[in-house]
Amino acid sequence: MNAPQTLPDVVLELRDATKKYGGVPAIESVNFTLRRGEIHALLGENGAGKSTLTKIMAGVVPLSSGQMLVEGKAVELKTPLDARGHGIAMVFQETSLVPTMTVAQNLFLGREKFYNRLRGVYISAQQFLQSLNFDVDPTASVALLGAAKKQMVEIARAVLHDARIIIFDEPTASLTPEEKKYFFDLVFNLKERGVSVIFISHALEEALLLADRITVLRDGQHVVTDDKANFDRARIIQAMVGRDLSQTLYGQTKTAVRKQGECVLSVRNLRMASMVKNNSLSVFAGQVTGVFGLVGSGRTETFKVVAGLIKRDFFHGGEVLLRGKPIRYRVARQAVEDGIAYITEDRKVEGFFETMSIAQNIYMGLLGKLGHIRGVVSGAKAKEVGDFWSKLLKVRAISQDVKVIELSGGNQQKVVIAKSLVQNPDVIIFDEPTRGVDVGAIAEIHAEINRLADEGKAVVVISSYLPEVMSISDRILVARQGKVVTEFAADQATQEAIMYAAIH
Amino acid sequence: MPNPIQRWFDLLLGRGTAAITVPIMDGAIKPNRVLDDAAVVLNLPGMDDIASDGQHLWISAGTVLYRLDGQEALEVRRFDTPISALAAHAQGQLAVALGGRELQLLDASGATVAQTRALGGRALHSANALAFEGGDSLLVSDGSEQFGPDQWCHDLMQHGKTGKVGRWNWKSGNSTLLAQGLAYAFGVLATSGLARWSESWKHTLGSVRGTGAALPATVAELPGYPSRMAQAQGGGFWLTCFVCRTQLVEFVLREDAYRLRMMQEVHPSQWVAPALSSGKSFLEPLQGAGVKAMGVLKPWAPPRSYGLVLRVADDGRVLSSLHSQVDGQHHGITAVAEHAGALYLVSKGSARLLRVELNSTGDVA
Repeated sequence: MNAPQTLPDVVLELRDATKKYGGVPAIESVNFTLRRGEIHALLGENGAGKSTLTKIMAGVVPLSSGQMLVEGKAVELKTPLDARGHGIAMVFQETSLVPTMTVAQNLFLGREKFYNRLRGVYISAQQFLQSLNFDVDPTASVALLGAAKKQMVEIARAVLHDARIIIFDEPTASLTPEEKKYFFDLVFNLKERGVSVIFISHALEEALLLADRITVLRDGQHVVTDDKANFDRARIIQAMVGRDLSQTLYGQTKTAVRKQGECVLSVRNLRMASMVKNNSLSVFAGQVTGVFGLVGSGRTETFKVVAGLIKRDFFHGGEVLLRGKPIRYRVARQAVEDGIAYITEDRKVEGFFETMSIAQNIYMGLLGKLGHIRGVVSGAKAKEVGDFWSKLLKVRAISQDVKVIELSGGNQQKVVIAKSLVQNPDVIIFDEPTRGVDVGAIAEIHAEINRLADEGKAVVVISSYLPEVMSISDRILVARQGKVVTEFAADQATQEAIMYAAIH
Repeated sequence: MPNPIQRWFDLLLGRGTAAITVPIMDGAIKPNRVLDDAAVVLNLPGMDDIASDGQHLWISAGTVLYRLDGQEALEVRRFDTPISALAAHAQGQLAVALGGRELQLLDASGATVAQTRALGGRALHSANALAFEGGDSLLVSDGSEQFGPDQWCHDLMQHGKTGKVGRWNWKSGNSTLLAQGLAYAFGVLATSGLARWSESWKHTLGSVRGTGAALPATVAELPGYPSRMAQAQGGGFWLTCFVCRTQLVEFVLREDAYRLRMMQEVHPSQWVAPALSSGKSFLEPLQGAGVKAMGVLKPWAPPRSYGLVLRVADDGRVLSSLHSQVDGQHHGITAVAEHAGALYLVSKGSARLLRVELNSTGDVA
């Protein structure tokens, strides 16, 4: 075997990297280089092979064939510990924190001294988190943190471990705009310190803003690597999906707004602990009502109360009216029977049964609605509804029997959506419907949302991603500190005005 | 669960009928500044109602009946008692309610041709809105049998339910009651074969076809107290909300002991209650509950007085709305009428006649 040769400023290189699962290639003959102190964006649809590629670099999975070089030397990483020994750390999309431990304990996990003084650990963690501008309490138990804060702890841990190469898998998916800004500053700071950063993101604007170079994968193959200056949105999307989706995705101001139908849902002066404070809003039939707000603005909690997933304050908790009639659900099933569907923001925890098949998952949604014949399970019926909805929502899988956990994020999300839509609801609440979903699936999910509104359903889309809210909504409600503070007609809204209302 | 026990639980937990909540102004009722930006046609103290016969716009202010002539109000007739309601027919007839207790039908010259003091055998007490129905009858709303037209706030604070709506056929001299026991009837309209009325303290509209039974309310519960209405040329109708609801007032309306004592000891202009205008005395409850920042009253603050007009479709959907927000001036809109391609509105709170241009579809331009 020839001695590997590589450019001096290249810190990591993959040559003809191939990884096969059960004989099926996840990536095939991929060549990739990472330079010292560069920010490298890795883009592609779900299932394109981004995660596999980064897992190889992080020592999570071994190569089937090909070669990996770190600092010009061939390496064979068998475990993440091997990778860490070579200065490679990965921040996973699903956090790898220990939920029963505090933030500080998680940060220093694996770096414990012989004698650890808890107070000293907390002080060090506090100072370190402050230096990163992360507003996280080091004494808080990780189990009690929201998704955004968990992500922050995960990032902080990678930085703390002095990695020379840090791989971020969708680092900003659950961060607020302000937290994203801090994260970007952090990434630039890492770059100045000579750290090389690889990040996977579905937000193309982030790639264009942050990255020095961009690599696009498609169907496990390397498509293109080029300097950021040579890319624009259209070229990235073209490379990612092999077709031009720029007209069906974000970046355009909505010109046609659907007319308001009957007021289906009315929330009046709702209160829920410290999260929802005297919140009022209406949702109308035949429209998409977008709800924008920062994390902690009470959007999700408000609609979880509506859907019977959590309860409002016991005393003077306000009213929720469905077609003018007050409702108060003890369990979510009652909401389902009344035609309210809530499609969760956290699909992996709340959205599906991961070891069940696509059809079984969708059928479970139907069973939740059937009422008196609940408990009678028909395999044929499950297959029938599974096939119908998989076809309607274009769920891509080798077969209907494949477990949902084995699907890509976009297809998982489609299953979660189908599981609710099979109940034929009148009010459909999508909470972050395209978080962690590739652009191809985003377009299809948006098309489905629009179809539902065109059918006369009352549709709510809660999203932290402003371009998404602006492109899909007919009216936009902005929530701040537990209540809706303003409303925009979609054809009159601007990003600046919405963001101003969300923050000030 | 028996009703009294349910009510007791509601009161304890702040739920059901004891939930102090107010519908939000969003969607088609999203606040704007159309009324504040409206052209001021004239200032006329005491102005209360308007009506258009297609040729002229008629205005009532105190005891005087005016006709709008360009930018001026020409006096047509002076009565002994204040005019509490006004209607105009396309054939030139006018109808007025005087002091809430008497109805008069006037010919084109302003002379009285018919009159009555009762509706369905019951004396009129607070006739506050009129509408012609066909060529020989008139719809009448009588707000209260306890209080006069100017004492609407007293009726609200006492949970008045003595309003009635009726039809007066001046040719035959007969009159019939269409509904009674109403929580302040204020506004009538004959449209799409229906006789509609506003039931202010219930925040909704009622209707009846012919002389049949009252139909279920089609308009959802409103964020304001509905009042007079007018036909819209593009379909549907205009509905004024002369004052708006707040959680504070809803709370006061549930606190009987507090309210009773307030009414006994405090001057009505200073009651914790809605008003047609506000900010005239430092003694009155603060507009917007004092939501001020840097000396500026927040326009979205809960209103003591407010300007609100709704465009409503025949099926009861609110299509659009016109607002004068808390920091605006044109509050207490008591009457509306389309005339000469524009929408005229009476802001009783500011004693101004306003004009808003309409486009070809009948919406605000």
